[in-house]
Amino acid sequence: MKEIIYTVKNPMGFHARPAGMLVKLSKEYSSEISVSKDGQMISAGRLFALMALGIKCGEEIKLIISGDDEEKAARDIEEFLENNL
Amino acid sequence: MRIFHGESISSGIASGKIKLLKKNTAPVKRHTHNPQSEWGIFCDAKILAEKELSTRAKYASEIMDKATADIFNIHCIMINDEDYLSMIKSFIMEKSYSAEYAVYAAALELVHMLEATGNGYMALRGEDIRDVSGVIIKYINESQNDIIDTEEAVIIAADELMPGDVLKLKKEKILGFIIKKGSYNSHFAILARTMNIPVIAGVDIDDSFDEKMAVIDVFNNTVFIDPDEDIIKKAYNDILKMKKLQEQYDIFKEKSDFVFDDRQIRICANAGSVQDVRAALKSGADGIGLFRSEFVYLNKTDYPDEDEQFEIYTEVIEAAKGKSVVIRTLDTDCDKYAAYMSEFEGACEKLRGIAFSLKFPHIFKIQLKALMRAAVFGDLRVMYPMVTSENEIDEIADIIKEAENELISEAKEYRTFSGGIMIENPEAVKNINRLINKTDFVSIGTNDLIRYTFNKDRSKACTLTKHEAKKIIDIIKSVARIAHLSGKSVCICGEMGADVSYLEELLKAGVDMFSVVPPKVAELKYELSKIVNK
Repeated sequence: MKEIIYTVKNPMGFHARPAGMLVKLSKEYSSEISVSKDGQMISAGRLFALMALGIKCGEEIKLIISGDDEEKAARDIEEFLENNL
Repeated sequence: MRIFHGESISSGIASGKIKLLKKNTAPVKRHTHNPQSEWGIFCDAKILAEKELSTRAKYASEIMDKATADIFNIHCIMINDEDYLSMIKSFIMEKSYSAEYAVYAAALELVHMLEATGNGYMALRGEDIRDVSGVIIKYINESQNDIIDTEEAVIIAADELMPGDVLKLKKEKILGFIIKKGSYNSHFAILARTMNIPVIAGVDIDDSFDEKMAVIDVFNNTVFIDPDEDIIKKAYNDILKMKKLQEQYDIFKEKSDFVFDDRQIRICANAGSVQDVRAALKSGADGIGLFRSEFVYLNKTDYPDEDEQFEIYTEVIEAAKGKSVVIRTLDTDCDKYAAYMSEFEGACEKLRGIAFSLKFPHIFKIQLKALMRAAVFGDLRVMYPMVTSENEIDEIADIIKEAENELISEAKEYRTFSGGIMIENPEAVKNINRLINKTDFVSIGTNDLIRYTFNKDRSKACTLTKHEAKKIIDIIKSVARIAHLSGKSVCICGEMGADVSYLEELLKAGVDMFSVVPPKVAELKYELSKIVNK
């Protein structure tokens, strides 16, 4: 299992565009990928549920990645977060 | 005549007949006795809707920039969202809703869910799920007519419009939009601006609007319904004048072989974003003469890193399709810096232009590295704002050397670029003899040069007396003479360069290149051709 803790820097928060991109990205791996915030955990494949977390700029999120390709998935997702959030 | 005031969210003037788009009436809550067949109707409609959405996304990616086109890629993800689909399924199978009502109810629920986040931006995205649902419902009720099928171009009035509605319309058929609900940041508004269609939002639309004549005057945030004869006449004349002139100018927009006094003259455009670069190219610009890199820094929470900047600059260069691009390094001033740039607190006046970059070389170096990496992809030149002394140019050269060494040790592809300085104050003009040997080209920023020369208030619009204009042109002449002696070219960027009444004098003064707002490119080329053919 890999864990990524990330503080959102995008002024608009975790909005539709990055959420959509994460949904797309997460489908490229066999690993389970989830996003958690304040005791809630949501699969990274669920667009509306991710948007409904209402993650704002400056808030911390945790991503959990578990499965065969977790190493690569974690690396790619970390890069994605840096570039888009 | 009735007059309505609203908020302009996309600029322009329009006059024509209104076509009122009836409110999408909410489907009636209807139950089915055969959920299985209703589910089948939904599945068929969904397949067609998905096809339409992906066609839209493809079309959008051809006509607009990536960020805007992504709106439509997200629609393709939305339609396959498992929560959305399972909600629809349970509404049909368990609650026995009709397919149409189930889709409508699911969208409604998701809209509420997004609104509950309390994030206004997120709530705005509710428009997207309603758009997607509308497409599915359209296929469920195949009878539903397309949004508009008139012969003549019209002004569209509607309570609210979805991004997809705009794509469905032929641009030639729309003169303008009057809407009740809509904000500057809505996807609809972004699209309207990209397509250059005027929009007034916040107008209390009623059924009586349909088929009425209207005039939209976005410059005054006004809509006239059943306008008086003189209002129509004025709008008609304004539009005709704008159009006629533009047509006349446009004949010259692709012309680029202007020679004046044995010098090749180029008309380039200013830009501040990738979209601007595309607009500039469409307007016929010979290149980008000033790309303000500030937008890469503003509206952010921290300094952009090297890779992020590299990607943006590369996109800018690629959008220019082989034409030259001059990127100006970060140029901040008192009302143009981001909240995270704490370095400016209380010192913004001292840190104008290149002074900031030289005081904080670690920030500057990141930009230089990104620029050098992007230079591999096209004709990139870089210029430095508000340079006044030789020392500054030497310091820039040192930081460039450091940046280059870092790129070498990181084994990153790069190319060095030619560098120019911006002459923007009297001190620089005084030193031009010494500065010229250390720069590849010169760009004169007239806005600041005028302010500093005559001590004018920055916050006020800048008008020149005849005497002042002559003085500035004399300064430009003296700079150009020295530049030409060393074989360096002279560009002018600033409002003075876009004012055709100064064109001939500036050419005579020695200006080789003009960089202006894209809508002015064709007009300048038109005037230029008259001058060179005299």
